[in-house]
Amino acid sequence: MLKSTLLFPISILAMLLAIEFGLELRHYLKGYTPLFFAPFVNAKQAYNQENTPASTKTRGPTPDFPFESPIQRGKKSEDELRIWVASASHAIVGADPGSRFPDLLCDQISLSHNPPCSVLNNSKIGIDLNYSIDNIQRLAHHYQPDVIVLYQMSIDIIQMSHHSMANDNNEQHNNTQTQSHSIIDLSPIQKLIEHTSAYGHLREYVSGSIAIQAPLLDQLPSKEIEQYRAKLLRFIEATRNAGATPVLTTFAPSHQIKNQDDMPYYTKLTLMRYQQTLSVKGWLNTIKTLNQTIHEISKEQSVDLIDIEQSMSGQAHNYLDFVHFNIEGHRAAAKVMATGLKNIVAANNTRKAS
Amino acid sequence: MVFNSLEFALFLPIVYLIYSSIYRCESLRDIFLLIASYIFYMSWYWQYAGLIALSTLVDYAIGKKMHNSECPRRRKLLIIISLTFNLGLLAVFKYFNFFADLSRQSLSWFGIDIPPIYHQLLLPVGISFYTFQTLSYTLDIYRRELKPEKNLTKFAVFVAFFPQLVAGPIVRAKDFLPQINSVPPPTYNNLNKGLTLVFIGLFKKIVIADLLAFLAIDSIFNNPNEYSSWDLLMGLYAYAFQIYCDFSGYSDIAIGVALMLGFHLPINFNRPYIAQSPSDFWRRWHISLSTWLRDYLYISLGGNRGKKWHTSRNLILTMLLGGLWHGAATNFILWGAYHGLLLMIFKPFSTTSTSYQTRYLRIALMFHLSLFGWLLFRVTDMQNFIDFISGVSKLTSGTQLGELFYLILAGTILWHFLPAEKTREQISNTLQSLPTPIKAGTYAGLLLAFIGLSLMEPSFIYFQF
Repeated sequence: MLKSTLLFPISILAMLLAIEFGLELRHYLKGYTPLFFAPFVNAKQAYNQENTPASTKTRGPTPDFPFESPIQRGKKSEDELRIWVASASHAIVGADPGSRFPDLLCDQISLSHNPPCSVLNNSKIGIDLNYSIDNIQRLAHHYQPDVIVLYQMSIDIIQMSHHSMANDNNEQHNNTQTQSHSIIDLSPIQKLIEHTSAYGHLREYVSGSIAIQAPLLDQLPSKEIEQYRAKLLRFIEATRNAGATPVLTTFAPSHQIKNQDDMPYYTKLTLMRYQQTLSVKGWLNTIKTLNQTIHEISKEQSVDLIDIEQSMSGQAHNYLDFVHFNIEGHRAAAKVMATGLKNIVAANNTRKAS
Repeated sequence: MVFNSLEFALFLPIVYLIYSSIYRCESLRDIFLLIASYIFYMSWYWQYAGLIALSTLVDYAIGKKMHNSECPRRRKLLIIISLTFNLGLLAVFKYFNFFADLSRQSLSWFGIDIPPIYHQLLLPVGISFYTFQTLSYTLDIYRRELKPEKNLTKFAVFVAFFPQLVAGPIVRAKDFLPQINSVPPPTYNNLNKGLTLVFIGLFKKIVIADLLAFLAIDSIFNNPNEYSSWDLLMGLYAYAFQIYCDFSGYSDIAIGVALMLGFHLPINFNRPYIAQSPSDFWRRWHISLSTWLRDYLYISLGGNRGKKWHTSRNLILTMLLGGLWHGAATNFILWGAYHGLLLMIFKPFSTTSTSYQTRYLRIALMFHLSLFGWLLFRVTDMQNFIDFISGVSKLTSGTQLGELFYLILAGTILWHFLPAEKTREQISNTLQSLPTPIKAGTYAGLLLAFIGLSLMEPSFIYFQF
């Protein structure tokens, strides 16, 4: 009896594993590193790294140089302009190393003026503003950047939307305990499941396509915006404490509110994959409000601002999805930021001279 | 842990595998079921496991003493102790703050101001269910309809049996204790039927109830002023099916899980919206609660044995308390009173009709009468109710609701109302009789769909009771 009863659930498990393997194979052939294949890919990379002498490595991140940039060896020279880019996936996804906007900044800056220039791209997929601030506090004194540019918002917006939804749920279940607590910590298993290709597909195509039809929020609550404001002030303080000039940038979404209906269905799905609290309009409204907040803080705190939104917002041909640049987008972003940074550096030098 | 969670997905196969291996050894089996049930309960708030253990010990002891006593006064005293203890638990954890606040407000109307007296105790999950379950045990012993269970472990399993512990169905000792004593085997047939029921329950809960809530209901009831009259009505129709599918889905899962282990729980829902009268409705909705209220409250109050006004009083009181059972809030009491009123008004008429035309008219009427009750049940406060009613009365048209919402609602309504018993049975039988690889593929696909849809994460409605 036990054999026949075991056969059925084992068959279900086998089916699920087969589906997952099929999806992962598809991802691997497209150049990604999915879950089952990760150990092999990581082992290959580790082998390559071990067999590559440290002196021949030209690009981080490495244990000694935690940046997605060409490795800076030796001390920083006196007239060198060192730019620290604090971002998330925007500064990594969508182009090969060397073609991303932080890598292109120095070339753009050098076109009309020629200071020695280096970039420290302190960006990583999935990090938020708090993580960036922690890195500045830990590392900036050692690497001595002149300017720290903040370019990231989407993870923070996603976190704010999750936080807002969690608050709503908690209010509904205030006096009851419908939230159960695992006796055993299952978070490693939960994380493993969330890294599977099947989960990603389900999140995007199933829950995402349903979320599009739901009456989602058209704006985040103001208390979430206030929390973001507080984080920006922390960033400014951390940067100034590190002896660098903080530079804020506005966020440029792929579409504007007036042409939101032009957003392709797949792009909407990827937006819903990451958060299911804000509608497309809500996402764009929230960005607008956050950009207004950035403008206000820039004036209040006398912080330099590069208005990328003005130059790039709504140019869908520069984007892979609702936030990430493609190669053309990286080039365009690099030009806009380089122009802004040149003006900031020139103004700083004028102030120093006077 | 809720049924549609990772924890339960890991918990159930482990429990099933171990149980299948040890069920022949009765004492080991009972201890294992008890431990598994307590682990299940402690996943909510482990401290309250002591409460359910205390309730078990008290009623076990009272049951034994009552059975062994021939003195009517002593027996009466013991049953009063059991009632006081169990209802006292409910009073303290569930109703204290509500009645304290009500009293304070009432006194303030007379100019007497007293400081607020509240406690911060969390409401133990399932307390309304397991207290009623243990009460049915002591009351049946008092009425000499049942002999007490001698084995404490078996009695503890009856109280804490995990599939039905936190949200029913409320089982009677006379139905369930014999099953615990007879060691039902977990056969392949039961596993098959049980799993099918579990998947049907998950489908009702995740695909219908949760989606309807996510796509429209929550937003409509939270912001009724932003919707047209049509959308408000659609939201109300949808809520009727959300609460039905949520609760009956949970019951299906509970019954399915119990069946996998070889135990038979009573059905709790029987297509309630095809009821032709209020009494017919209560024979189909939350059957385990309505029969409990009938047997232990309505009949104890005198039932329909006295004058007409006695019967009316008993009906209203029973339903009022039935409403209060659902929660310490005015809207639940009003909902209960409303149904009591309906029962009273419709009592003189026959409960069902054989005539084709009148049957469907009665079904339509009863459905819409129950809809008004659900409105009382769902609103958060009086203002919410007023906003909803005034929104509907404006008779504005236009809809903000998407096609998926209408598809799910229309499909659910058709499935519920169409006389398709044979089709329903056929689908269930077909699922069970598929060859193992195809069945596994079907269930794997359904599981993935459920996971995808669960990523919106609302909880079971009846857990808050």
